[in-house]
Amino acid sequence: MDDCEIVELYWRRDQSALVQSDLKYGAALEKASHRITGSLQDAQECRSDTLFSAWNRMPTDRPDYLGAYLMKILRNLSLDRWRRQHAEKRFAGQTLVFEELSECIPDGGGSVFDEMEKGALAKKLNAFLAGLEEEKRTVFLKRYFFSESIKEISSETGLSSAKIKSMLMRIRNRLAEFLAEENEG
Amino acid sequence: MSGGTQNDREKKLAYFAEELNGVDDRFLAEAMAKRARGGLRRPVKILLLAALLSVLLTVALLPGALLFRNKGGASATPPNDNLPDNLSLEEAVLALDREDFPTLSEEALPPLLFSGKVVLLWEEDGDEIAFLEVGDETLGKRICASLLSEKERTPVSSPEDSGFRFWVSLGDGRVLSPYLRVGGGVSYGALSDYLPETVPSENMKELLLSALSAA
Repeated sequence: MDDCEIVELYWRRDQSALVQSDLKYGAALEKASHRITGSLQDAQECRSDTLFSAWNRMPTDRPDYLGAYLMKILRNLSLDRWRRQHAEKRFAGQTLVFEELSECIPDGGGSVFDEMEKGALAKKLNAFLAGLEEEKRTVFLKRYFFSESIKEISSETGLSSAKIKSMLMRIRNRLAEFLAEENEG
Repeated sequence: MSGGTQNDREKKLAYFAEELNGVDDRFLAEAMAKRARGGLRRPVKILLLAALLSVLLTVALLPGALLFRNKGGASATPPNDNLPDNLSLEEAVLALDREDFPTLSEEALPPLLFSGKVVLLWEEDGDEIAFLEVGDETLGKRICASLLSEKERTPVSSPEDSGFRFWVSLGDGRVLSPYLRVGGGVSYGALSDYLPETVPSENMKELLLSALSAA
């Protein structure tokens, strides 16, 4: 069943929407959550919470890309859960992926990150991503949005690990330059 | 002070994590769809490797006198003498039987780099790193001397990354690669990641293959 048909089921308040969503995206959702939470039980709960959340939001929202829509809900839920459970260590487990990329953002003293406008960086990121070739954009998002390992990206894209590593390094450098230029401008 | 810096770092990470969720759904859908198409290229790669291996096998089975430098044929000769002359160092190394060489764990790397011995290390496409300690001390010294003294190297004609990496650990923590330009290609206590910039000289190729053949 395609995404439009599933969304239509949500809008008709037909509970088979949940079954169809789970059939199509359930496994991918659970896998993505597991990468963030590191716990199979948390990942399974996040999978069902995501579908429940989509069910509640859907009368208002009408997503064009159901998979991406569900992934965003899942990512928020998984990060919340991760933060709660690791409150003392905070980003200790997942720092590797985020840290690589956050080096691209210019440092700011004091409470600059509290004051930053919500969505400001996302807007710049989208502009940057729009300028990338599809392959690079895909590798970038698999790594930094979906938190996939280099090995996973390699098996999904058919690119070598070495190529992915060097590609990511170049993209990070370009992003750092892009953000620096945006800040100046 | 460090607490403040740590706090800023955490805020930065939290901010970034939130902002990433603002990425356009179109791009996410595109990345998710790639999952289904992925994998098409790997079988092609495997087929190419199989073709290359069969060519090498055919070459190895032909009479040695026609193809190999040594007159005694292929069977009783060291690996580098079994390879046609026109192979690059990369091709020659990859044509060797990988199972003849041990592979390296991350924990074992630092002690190896400071072992006082010359060690050759190589990697293909991010696979486990294979290595070989150069047993012949004189040969080890010649390799080090050549690597350190080469004044000029030939730049690679194509900037494409083949995924092949080759390093020489001098035993004192210094690591060099014949694939990196002189002066810019020395790391200390670690294997540098790189895109090949230069082509190893014939002299260097001979020295390295001699060391590998002694394994």
